[in-house]
Amino acid sequence: MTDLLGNDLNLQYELLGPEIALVITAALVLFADAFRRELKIGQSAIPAISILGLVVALLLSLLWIDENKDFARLVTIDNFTTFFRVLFIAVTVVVIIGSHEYIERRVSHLGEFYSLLLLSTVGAMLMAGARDLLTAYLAIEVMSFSLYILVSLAKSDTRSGEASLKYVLLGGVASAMLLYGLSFLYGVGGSTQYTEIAAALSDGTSTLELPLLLGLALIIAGLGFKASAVPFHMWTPDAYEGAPIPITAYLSATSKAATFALLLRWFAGPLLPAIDSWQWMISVLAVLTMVIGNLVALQQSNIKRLLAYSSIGQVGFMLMAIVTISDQTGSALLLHLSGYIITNLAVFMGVIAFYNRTGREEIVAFRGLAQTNPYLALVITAGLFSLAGMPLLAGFLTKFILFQSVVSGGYTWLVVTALLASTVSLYYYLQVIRQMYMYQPEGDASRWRLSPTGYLATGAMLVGVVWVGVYAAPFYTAADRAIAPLFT
Amino acid sequence: MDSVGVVIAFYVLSAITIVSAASIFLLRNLVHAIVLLVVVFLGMAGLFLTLSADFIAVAQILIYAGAISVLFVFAVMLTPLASRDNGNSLYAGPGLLLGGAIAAIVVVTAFDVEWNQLTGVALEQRSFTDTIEVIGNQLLGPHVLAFEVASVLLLFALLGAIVLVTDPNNEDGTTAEEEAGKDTAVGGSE
Amino acid sequence: MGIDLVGMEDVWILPAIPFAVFILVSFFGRLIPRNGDFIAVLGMALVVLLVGLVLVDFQGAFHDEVFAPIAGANTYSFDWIDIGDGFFVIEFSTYVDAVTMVMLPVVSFVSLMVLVYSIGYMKGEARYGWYFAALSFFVAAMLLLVISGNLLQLYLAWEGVGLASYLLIGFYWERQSAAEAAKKAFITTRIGDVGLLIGIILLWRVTGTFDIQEIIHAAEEGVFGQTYLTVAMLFLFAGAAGKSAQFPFHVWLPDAMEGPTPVSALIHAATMVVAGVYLVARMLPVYDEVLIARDVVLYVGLITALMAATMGLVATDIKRVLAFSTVSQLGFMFAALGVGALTAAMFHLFTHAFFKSLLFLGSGSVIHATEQQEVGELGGLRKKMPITALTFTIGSLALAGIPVFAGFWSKDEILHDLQHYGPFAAYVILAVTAALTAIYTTRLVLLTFFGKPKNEQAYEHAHESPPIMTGPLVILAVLALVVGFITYQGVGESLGFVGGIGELVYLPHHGPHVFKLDIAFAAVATATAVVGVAIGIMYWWGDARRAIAAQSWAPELHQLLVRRYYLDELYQGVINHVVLGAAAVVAWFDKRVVNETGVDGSTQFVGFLGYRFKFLQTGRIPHYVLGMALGVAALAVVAIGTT
Repeated sequence: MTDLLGNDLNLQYELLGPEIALVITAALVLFADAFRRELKIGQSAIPAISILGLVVALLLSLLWIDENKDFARLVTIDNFTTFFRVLFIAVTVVVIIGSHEYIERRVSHLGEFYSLLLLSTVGAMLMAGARDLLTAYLAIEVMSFSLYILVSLAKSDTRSGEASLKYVLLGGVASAMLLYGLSFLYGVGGSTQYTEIAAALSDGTSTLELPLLLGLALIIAGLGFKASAVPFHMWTPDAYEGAPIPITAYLSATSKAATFALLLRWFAGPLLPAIDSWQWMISVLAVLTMVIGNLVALQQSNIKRLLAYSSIGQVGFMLMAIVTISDQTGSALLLHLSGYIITNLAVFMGVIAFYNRTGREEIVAFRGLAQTNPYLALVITAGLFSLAGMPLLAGFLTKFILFQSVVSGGYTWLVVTALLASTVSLYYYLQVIRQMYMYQPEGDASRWRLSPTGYLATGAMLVGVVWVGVYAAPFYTAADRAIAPLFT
Repeated sequence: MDSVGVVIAFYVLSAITIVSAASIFLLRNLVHAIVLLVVVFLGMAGLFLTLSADFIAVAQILIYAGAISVLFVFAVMLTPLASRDNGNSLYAGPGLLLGGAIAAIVVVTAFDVEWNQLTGVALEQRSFTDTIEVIGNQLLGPHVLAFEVASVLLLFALLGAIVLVTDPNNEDGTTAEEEAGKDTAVGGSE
Repeated sequence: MGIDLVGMEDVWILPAIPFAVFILVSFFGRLIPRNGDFIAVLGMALVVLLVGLVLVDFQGAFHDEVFAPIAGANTYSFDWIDIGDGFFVIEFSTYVDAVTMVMLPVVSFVSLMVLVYSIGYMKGEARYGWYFAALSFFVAAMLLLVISGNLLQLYLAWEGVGLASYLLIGFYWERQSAAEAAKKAFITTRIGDVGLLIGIILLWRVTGTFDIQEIIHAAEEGVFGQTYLTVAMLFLFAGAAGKSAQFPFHVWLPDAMEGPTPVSALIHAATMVVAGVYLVARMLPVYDEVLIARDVVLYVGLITALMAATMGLVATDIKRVLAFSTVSQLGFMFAALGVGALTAAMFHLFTHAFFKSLLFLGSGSVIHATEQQEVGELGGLRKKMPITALTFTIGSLALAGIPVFAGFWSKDEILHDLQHYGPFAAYVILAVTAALTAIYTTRLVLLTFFGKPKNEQAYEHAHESPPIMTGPLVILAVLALVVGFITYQGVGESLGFVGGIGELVYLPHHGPHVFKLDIAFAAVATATAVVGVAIGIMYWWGDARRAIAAQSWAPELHQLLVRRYYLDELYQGVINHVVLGAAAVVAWFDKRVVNETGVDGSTQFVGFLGYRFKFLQTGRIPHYVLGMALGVAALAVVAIGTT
C-alpha cells in the first residue's frame, strides 16, 4: 500500500504486537470483571490476567531488539521504542504487584482500574514510538484520558474526584495548546512526519521564524504540562494528592517517562534544526522547575505532595538533558530516567505499604517507623537518599552521569544550579528520614509485617536502587543502544 | 490567489465566529450562551467550507452544532435554576490581559508571515474535487492505526464516563443521574 | 623484604574487611554472642596487622628504589563502569604513596583502640551491636577514602564517612539535641560536598579523567587555564573545609559532640575530620600551580586556628573544649599546607591523631565515671581516677606543645615552615594560637582533675574506668609521648624507620625535607608553650578566682566568645529567614496562585452530571490556567521579541 505521496507503507501488524496484546488484555480484564460471578473467578484473577498480558507484551517487545522498522510511517519500532516499551511494562507490573492490596481495599471499579492502567501503558508506548505528529498526539490522549479517570478512582476519598476534574480540565487546556503548537509546526514544516519536518526545518526557514517560535512556545507549554515543568506544574500536587497512591506512583513514573520519550523524539528529531530557538526556553524552564520544585517541597507536610514537588524538582534536572541534547546527554537521560523511576517506585511502594497499614499520609505519621517496621523504613530511606543523590544508590550515579554530560554540553551554570537545588532537596528528604528514625512511634509501637506482594515489590525496588547505584553499566549499555537510532 | 468571494466569505465568517465566541463570556444566561456556541460551530463549518474541506464542514455541523450542543442544552436543563447563570469571574481582568496578549502574538504572526511561500511535501498535493473519498481511503488505509487508536480511545472514554458517574459507594445500579437528581433537590431548596 | 603475603597491591583488602564486618554485624548481630563486638575488634586487629605488612612492603620498595616515594604507585585498578565508549569511565583504583602510608596506620590503629575502649564504654547501651556495625562501616569508608586513586571513588567514600558520621552523631537520637546536631553536621558538610563535586566535575571537564595522578600531571603540564584551575581548586577546598570544619563551615563540629565519646575520638578528632587535610595534601601539587587558591587555604587555616582557640578558652563542656581544639589544630594543618609544607602538615596530622584521640577517650572516661561533662561540675578527679588523670595530662602536654611530647615536634615544624615560607603575620598568628592552646589546655586539665570537687555527688560517684578502657588510654599515652621524636629525623632513623617522616613525605619538586631542630627556634616555641601553661595555672589554679574576675573585665568579649562569634546564630538566621523564607514565599505564592488549600474534597465531587461547578469560583482552576497562559505568553513574547 502507498500513501498519498506515493511512499510505500509497511503494514506489518506484528510490529505492534505489544500494543495489540495489551489492548486485548484490557478488554479481557473488563470482560472478566463484569462476569466474575458467572465465571466463578476470584478478585485476584484480574491482576493475574493483567500481569499475564503484560508479560506477553514484554516478550513481544523483545522480538524487535536491534530492528529498525516503521509501521505505515506512523510508528517507529527501533531500540528507543523497545527500551520504553520494556520500561513501561515493567513499571505497570511493579505497580500492579506492589499495590495489589491497596487496590483491592481502596479502589473502586477493579476491572476498569486494571484495564485503564493497561490502556494508558499502550498510550505511553505509542508516544515513545510515534514518528508522526498526529499519532503522537493521539497517543498522548490515550495515555492521558486513562489517567484522568484513574485519578478519580480512590474509594471514599472526596479529594480524588476533585483532583481528577482539575486534571482533566487543565489537561484539556494543555492539549489545546499542544495541538495549536503542532498546527503551527505543520504549517512551517509542511508535514506531520518527523523526518519531513526535520528536512523542512534544516532547509532554512528564515521567513517562517515567527510561527515556528509561537509553535515552539505552545508545544513546550503543552509538553511542560505533561512533564510538570514550572509554570505548567500546578496540577501535579493536586492530582498526586487526590489520586490513589498506585496511580500517583504511575503518574510519577510512566506519565513522566513517556513525556520525556516524546521530548527526546521531538527535540532530537524534527525540532533539532531549530535548536537555537528553543534551547533557552527549555533551560529557563529547567531552572525554574528545579528551583521552585525543590523550594516548595520544603514546606510540604503531606508525603504525596512532598513527592509531587520532589518529582517536579527532578524534572528540572531531566530538562537539562534536553537543553544540551546529544547522544551522550540522551543516553544519560535515559539512564537517569530509569534510575529515577526505580527509586521513585521504591519510595512509593514503601508509602503504599505504609498506607495500607495506617491509612495515613502526613509526614509526621511516619514517626518511629524504624522501630515498628525497620525493613520498610530502610526501603523508604534508601529511596529518599537515592532521590537526594547519595552515592552507591541509583540516584547518585545516574544524576552524576547526567550532570556530567550536561557539563560537557557546555552548560556548567545549569549544573551548578542543579547541584545547589539538590542540596536543598536533601533537607526535606532528611525530614522524612528523621521522622522515621529519630522519634518514638506514636500510639501502637508493635512490630508489623508487609503483605507478601508488598515484600516482593519493595524488595525488588530496593535491590534495583542498589544495583543501579553500584553497577549501572548494563543499564547504560541499554540506554546507549536505545538512543542510537535517534542520532543516526 | 483565491477569488474575491472566498476572501469576503472568510472575513464575514471570521467576524461572526469571533463575535459570538466573545459574547459567550459576557452573557449571563447559559442557554443563550449555548445558542451562541452553535453559531460559533456553524461559523467554523463555514470556514472549513472556504478551505474546500466539505466533509469536515458537514461533520462539524452534524457533531458539534447538532449532537454536542443538544447535549449541552440537556445538561443545562438538568441543572438547578439557581446555577444557570454565568457566575461573576474574578479573573476577567488578568484573563483578558493574557488572552489579549496571546491573541496579539497570534495576529502578529498571522500577518507577518507570507504563508503562501510555504513549501513542504503535504502542500505539493493537488486539490481534491471530493474529500470524502480521500479521507475514507486514508483513514482505513494508510492511517488505519490512528483510526484504531482513536476508536480504542473513544471506547475507554465511554467507559470512563460510566465509571465517573457511578457512585462508588453504591454500585448496585443506582445511577448518578438519580444521585444528581437528589442533589438537585437539595440544591434547589437552598 | 621477605614478606610478600600482603603488599601495596593488595590494599583494597583493607576496607573490605571492616565492610564485611559491617554486613555481618548489622544483619546477623543478634544471632552472634555479644552482638558481634569481638568480630569488629578482631577484624580491626587484622587490618592493623595488614597495614603493618603493607608498611613493610612500602619501606622495602622505598629501599629498593622501585619507585620514587612520592610518585607512589597505582597498585590496583579495574574498570568499574565504562560507558559511552570511554566518555565516562569509572575505575576502581587504589593508590599508595607516602601520604597514604601516613594515613593508613593512623586510621587503623586509632580505630582499633577506640573499638576496644568502646567495649567498656558502650556496655549495656541499647543498639550496642549497631554501634559496632556503624563504626565498622565508618572505618571501611575511611580506609577506602585514603587509598582511592581517583576522585570519584574518593567522593563515594567521602559521602560514606559523612553518612557514618551522621548515623553516629545521631546515635542517641532520643535526645532532640543529638538529632539536630546530626542534621546540622550532615547538611553543613553536604554544602561543602557540593563544592567538592563541582570541583571534581570542573577538573574532569578539562582532563576527561578522574585519576588523581593524571589530573596532577595535567595541571603541571599547564593544561588548565589559571583562573579555571583556581576556581576548581577553591571548590575542591570548600569540600575539604566542610569536612574538616574550617571557617566558615566549622559550626558543625562542636555540636557533633552529641555522639558517643569514642565516636568523637575516632571520627571527630582523629580520622574523618582530617579527610579534608588529606584531600588538600593529596592535591597539593595542583595547589602549587595556583598560588591564589593555596593562599586561601593558608588564610582559612589561620583564621580557623585562632578563632577556634579563642572559643576554646571559654567553652565549659569538656568535649566541646576538645572539639574547638580539634578545629584549631586542623587550622594549623591547613595553614601548613597553605605554604606548601606537606611534610609538616602530615606530621602534625599523624601526631595529632594520637594525642587527640587520647584526650577524647580520657574525657570519655571522666564522663563515664561521673556522668558529667560540664567542667563546672567536675574537679579534683585525679585522686579518684589516677590513670585517666595521668594519661589525660600527657595528652594535654602533647597538645600544648611541651617538648618531648609528640605535639611539640610537629607544631614546631609547622611554625618553622610558616616562618620560612609564609608571611610573617601568619607565623605570629599561629604562635599566638599556640600560646592560647597551651592556656585552654591547662585550664581544662586544672578544672577537671585538680582543685576541689565542685559537685560532691558526682565526685563520690566517680571511680576509675575498667582496664578495657584504661588499656587503650595507656597505649595511646605512650604513643603521644613517643611518636613525635621516633618519626623525627635522626631519632627515627636510628630506630630503623627509613629516614623519618621527612624523607618519606615530600613533594618531588621540593625534594626530601630534612628536619633540623633549630635550637633557638625551638626555644621560642617552647617558651610560648610554657608561658601559656603558666598563664593557665595562674588563672585557673585552685578556685579559678582570677579567671572569674577576668570575665567581668570584658563581659562583652566573654559573651562574644561564648556565643561563638554569633556565627551559629547568623547561619541559623540565614537559613530561617533567607532559605526557608524564600521557600515560604514561593510556597505561599504557589498556594495563592496555584492551590488555595490543595485538594480537600470540599467541592463534594459527585460526577459530571452533578454539575457542581461552584468550586470553579474558589479560584484554583482559573489560577492554574492563568499561570499556564502566562508561561506561554512569556515564552512567546520573549521569543518573538528577541528575533
